Amino acid sequence: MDDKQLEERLNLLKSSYDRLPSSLDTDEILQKIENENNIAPVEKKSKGSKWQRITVWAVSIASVFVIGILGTTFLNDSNDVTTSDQENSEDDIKNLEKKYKEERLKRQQMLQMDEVEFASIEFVQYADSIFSAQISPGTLEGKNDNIPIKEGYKNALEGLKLPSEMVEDTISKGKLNAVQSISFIGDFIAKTEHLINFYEYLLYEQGADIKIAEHDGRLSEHVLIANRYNMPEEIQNMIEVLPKQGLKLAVNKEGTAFQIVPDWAMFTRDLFTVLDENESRYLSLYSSIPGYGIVNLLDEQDFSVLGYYLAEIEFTLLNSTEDSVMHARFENYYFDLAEMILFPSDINEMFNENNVLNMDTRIAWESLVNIPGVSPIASLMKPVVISMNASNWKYNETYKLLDIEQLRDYYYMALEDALETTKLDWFALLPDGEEMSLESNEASNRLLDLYERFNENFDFSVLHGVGPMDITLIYHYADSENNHEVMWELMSSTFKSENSKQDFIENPTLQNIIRESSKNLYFNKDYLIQNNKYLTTYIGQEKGDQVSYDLVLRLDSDDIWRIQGVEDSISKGTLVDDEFVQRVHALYKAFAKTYDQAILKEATPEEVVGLFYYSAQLKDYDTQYELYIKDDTRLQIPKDEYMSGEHQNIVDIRLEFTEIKFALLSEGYGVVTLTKHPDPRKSDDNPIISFQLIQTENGWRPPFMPIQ
Amino acid sequence: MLELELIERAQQGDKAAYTELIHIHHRTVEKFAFQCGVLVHDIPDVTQEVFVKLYRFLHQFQRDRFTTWLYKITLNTARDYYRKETKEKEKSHKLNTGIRETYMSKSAEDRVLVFEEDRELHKAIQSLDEKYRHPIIMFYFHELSYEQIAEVLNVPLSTIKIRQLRAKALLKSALQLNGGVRHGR
Repeated sequence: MDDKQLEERLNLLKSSYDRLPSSLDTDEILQKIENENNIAPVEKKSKGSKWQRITVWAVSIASVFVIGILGTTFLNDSNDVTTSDQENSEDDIKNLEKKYKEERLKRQQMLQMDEVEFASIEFVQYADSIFSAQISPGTLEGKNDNIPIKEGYKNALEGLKLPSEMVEDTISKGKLNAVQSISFIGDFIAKTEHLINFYEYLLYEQGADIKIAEHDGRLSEHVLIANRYNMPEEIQNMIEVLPKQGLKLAVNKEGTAFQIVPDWAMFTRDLFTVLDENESRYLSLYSSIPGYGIVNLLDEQDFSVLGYYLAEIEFTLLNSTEDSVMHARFENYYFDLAEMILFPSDINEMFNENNVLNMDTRIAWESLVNIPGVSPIASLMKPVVISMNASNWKYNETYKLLDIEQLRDYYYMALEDALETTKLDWFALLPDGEEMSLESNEASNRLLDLYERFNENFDFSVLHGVGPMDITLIYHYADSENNHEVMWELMSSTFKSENSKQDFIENPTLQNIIRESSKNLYFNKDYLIQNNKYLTTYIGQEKGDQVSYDLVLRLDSDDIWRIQGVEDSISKGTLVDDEFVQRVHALYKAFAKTYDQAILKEATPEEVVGLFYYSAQLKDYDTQYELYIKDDTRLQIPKDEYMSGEHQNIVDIRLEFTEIKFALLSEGYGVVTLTKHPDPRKSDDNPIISFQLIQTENGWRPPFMPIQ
Repeated sequence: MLELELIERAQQGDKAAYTELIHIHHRTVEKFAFQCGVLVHDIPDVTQEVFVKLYRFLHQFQRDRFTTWLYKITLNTARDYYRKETKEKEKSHKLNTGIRETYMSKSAEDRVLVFEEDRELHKAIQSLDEKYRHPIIMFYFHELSYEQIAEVLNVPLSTIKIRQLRAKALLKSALQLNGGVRHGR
């Protein structure tokens, strides 16, 4: 089917829709509108006060707040006559009015404001609106909805509550689900913003009086607080009230204006125990990016860390309830911030005169591609970062074609669980070396949490971005819990293809991978090896006095580290005995004739080192010289110089060394350790020699000065 | 009277003007709701709600944005209708009408989409993700421009163009998968 055929069918379908029956009743619609209009409108009281002039910069959230509170009124409107309120008398109404006044006065006193100031706060106005709509003289005759009066009164009271009271109430209720949590957060932030509006206007109004609070030519909140008793009464009251409502004074970056910012340290510790974990992230995000939006963030933070904020916002959006005010608000921040990071307004500052990307932008971009799990921004930026990295961070076609709209598509795909996880750059992510104590509580709590989340339904996205040491510990924990299913899930795909799941679950062949005597696990980037298409690493643990890197993990194709098995990356030692010398001698005979490098292609690292010392034993320094790596990029010593230098005197390599063994340290690089015969004449002599080797196309070769 | 004049008068509270607007636009709302997945027997409720909401927001929008708002509100109402209210409605329907209701609704849809190939295409459109479904409906059945669709859905113009292309590709493959019934009227 081509486009034309499809369009023809769409046109035919369009005409079929004309058959849709219509049953319009305009009178009913107009009646419903009429009923709605009888509900007292949300109007600001016109007191003619200066407080009326407060600039509302948080219009969006405030409006939603109103809808949130009054929404129940509109949603429940109906032609049904309420019955429950018929039980209420005029006295009941009067009583509620009296109680509401008392409740209102209580909050006014808590905020240390006069009536005019208090009535100018937006959430107070909204609470008053609800009260006047639901419980006002004549309500019993004129009320057009079926909300019981007591319910209406309760809504009005909820609207009056200060942020600090909301926190107390919420904590006392215990654990909240996601919907309840985001509803609380939305209202809490709205009320906080209403208070911020009020106090920032107060600061603006009192500008002349508070301007003296300066230090080193900048306004200072500390000076203002210290001198509060010389300030107008409203400022004194504000300074007392702010911390109680989770707010604090601050000064803008330029030092020219006071600001009010959230300071929820006192609230969040307890709040986080009752709020849904995913939704509560909005509180943390809001502390970093308050009502002014990302403009402040761009002003206050280094460009290089903006990627971190973007990742945080993204994670929160993808893991929280979609249908919420905060979600919509941070969705805007997300796309705005992404655009700022990817397309800063001045492209000339982004690239220098050689078209090379500046370091801050580079750091920000690199941080975006290593976001674990599903990440729209990582999916978008991965090709850009890879291509620019390959072209020394120069402006290129991939960046030129970058389309921010693609991010929207990825984002919506992620919301619908249709976006795949992006592969992480583990070489960049993992530290050069790390030591993790097996007795650390912090580590055990983190891993226990990961284990439990993974154990719920074996969702591997939980383990995306989790490093090999943590995977080792999760496996070990599963082992201690006899959870063989988790153990199996954590085995590498190769292991799974070679073993039966049922057999493993009945009798796991890989248990107690961490020895009882081990106190730490060790990671060393030298053991991070790219082997064909797989990335492999060896995790170390104590073995006697030494660290043995014997736990092998592999990064599977889904970008999750899994256990491959236990094997020592360090080979078993080879005895320097007659048999070994025979093998070395055979190699010598073949190689010394022609110095054909290919002859040693299959020789083991131990044999190459053996050959090196065997040549010295034979005083054949030409052959020894020919063993050195032939690579112009490495240090080379002219043959004359080498031949005329001092040489080690070896009578018999069997008398010189007892054992020889190889350890692969990274891809193409290893060390052969030679254990010397103990020499009773030299008590301080080191019994071990480490001999470096580099892998070439013709096998392993020593660089010059291999034992330094 | 010009529509813009009607809107202006309705904005000033003229009920007669608003009634006239309802008469002009109710078929658009009804069809759009149905195309967005509202069942035939729910369309009167949804239409009523759209015009009540539209009146609520009437004073907020510019006159030349009336159409955009009409689609926006219809879309949201249709979406919310099943999200928030159906559970309650379903309960009462089940109690009151049981099987009869299901039968009635089925035959009501069939009375609109008489031809098998229409039902097939309608079903294919319904099964699209809404981000693909809505642009297709507005473009082909309501002749809205890409710019207008972008405004209704509040997404950039380029996104609409991309989605439209993908939507068509998805529809074609869905129709081919189902054997590609030939249109034969």
